Amino acid sequence: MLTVVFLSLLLGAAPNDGSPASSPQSLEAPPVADESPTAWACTADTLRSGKTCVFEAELTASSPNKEQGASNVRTIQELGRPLCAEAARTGEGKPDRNLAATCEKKYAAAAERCDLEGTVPVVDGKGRFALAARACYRAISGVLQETQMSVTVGKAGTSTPKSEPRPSRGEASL
Amino acid sequence: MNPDILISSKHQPSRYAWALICALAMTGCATSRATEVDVRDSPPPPGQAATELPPDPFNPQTFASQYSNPTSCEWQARRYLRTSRDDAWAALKACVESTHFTLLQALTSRTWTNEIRTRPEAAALIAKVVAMRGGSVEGDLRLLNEQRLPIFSLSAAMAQPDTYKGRYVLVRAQVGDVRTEDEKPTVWLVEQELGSVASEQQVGVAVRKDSASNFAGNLSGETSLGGGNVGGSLSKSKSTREGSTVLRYDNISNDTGREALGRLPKADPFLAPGRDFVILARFDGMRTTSGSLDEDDEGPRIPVLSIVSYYIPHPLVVY
Repeated sequence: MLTVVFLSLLLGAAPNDGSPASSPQSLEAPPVADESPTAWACTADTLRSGKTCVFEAELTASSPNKEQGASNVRTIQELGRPLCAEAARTGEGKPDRNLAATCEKKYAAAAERCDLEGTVPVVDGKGRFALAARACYRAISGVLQETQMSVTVGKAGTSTPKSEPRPSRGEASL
Repeated sequence: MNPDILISSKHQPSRYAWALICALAMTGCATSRATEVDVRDSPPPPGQAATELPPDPFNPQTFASQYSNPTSCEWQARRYLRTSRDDAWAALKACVESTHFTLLQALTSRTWTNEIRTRPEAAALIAKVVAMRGGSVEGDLRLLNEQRLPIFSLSAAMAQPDTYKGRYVLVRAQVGDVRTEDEKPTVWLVEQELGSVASEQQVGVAVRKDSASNFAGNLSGETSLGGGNVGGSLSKSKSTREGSTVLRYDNISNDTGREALGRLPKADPFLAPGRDFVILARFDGMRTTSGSLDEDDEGPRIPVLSIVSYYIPHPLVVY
């Protein structure tokens, strides 16, 4: 009996040696990863600016669904008009109608690839493109970049000043 | 009344008063010094009344301010492990904060193993010491991994993302671009490696001697065979330089070619572009970027990190 009391006293005192309980931030805690998207996610803004982005979205995959596929294509096509208008904008701020029309045509063709077989929404609730949508994103991004390039090249072509003929030797110019 | 007697009687109490003040001052000084050095180890004075105020709680800043040498500070901090692990850990942290603490081996020794593995701020403390040692992350991570401390390199995490997901990584990096969503910024990090470049530096006085001389002559004469004229010139120049040089090595940081995205809990103006930082972060895995427009190409992948803390590396490196 005395031994039991002694042991219980001993065991009661022993663990309280000031050792801290392990916290989630400690080195021996299990790994913790944050899977949420960052501020570098691919969105309509990154499509517009052409900046580098990361494919990350908060989505869950489901079984193939025709409605989902059609909805995906529709979502992307709705973005086409404003994006093409912006891409075809010239230095004066007005869109080049011909370029915008060509862009929309090519964009619509590229958007057909954005159904993702109806397995997952093309963008999440905050407009972030899914990883599965990277081929779709690249296709429409390519169309927009091509349009912007046409505007730049066209502008450079029209803005080149006409060079005055140089006076040849022996001629005088005033 | 005799004036001499009056004077001596007037001075007598004053002398006693001075003696008393001196004695009190000496006692006071001695007491305060003893409490500063080791308040825990000194036994309570005999017959201390129960109504007296309890001893002041342990103050780590006061403790660390007594030591300018990190070795002494860390050694004294160890003594508290016998009485209170919390006080010992607080003392050790104060040593790191208050002195130029570069003793990574001491920090990761068996004495502190329990604290380093279980304390939530231990990883940040290690990162701070690595920065104070000059931020040679690759070399210091080797020391940490020898002690089986789970802080890893970015290259290891990128090579085996599934193995390292959620684990601590230590990166020396510069900040590039930053984007913000929902007031949570994410910075583009460019990893740096520490290298050295050698250059010769002159020691002492250098002597340079330049000399130039020119000789010219002309000889003409008549002989029985006829007249003649001989001319010529000789120029000579010499330049010597004497001096001593030593090889000097300067630390430089170079891009490793690895990049990462670093999540911050809130905007931080001190994490400025253009300078190196030693960054402690959690590895959140790899993400696919839009980098390549080739539809068949999966595109470059970039690691995503959650930044825990960061420190400016010291310019002098400890090996």
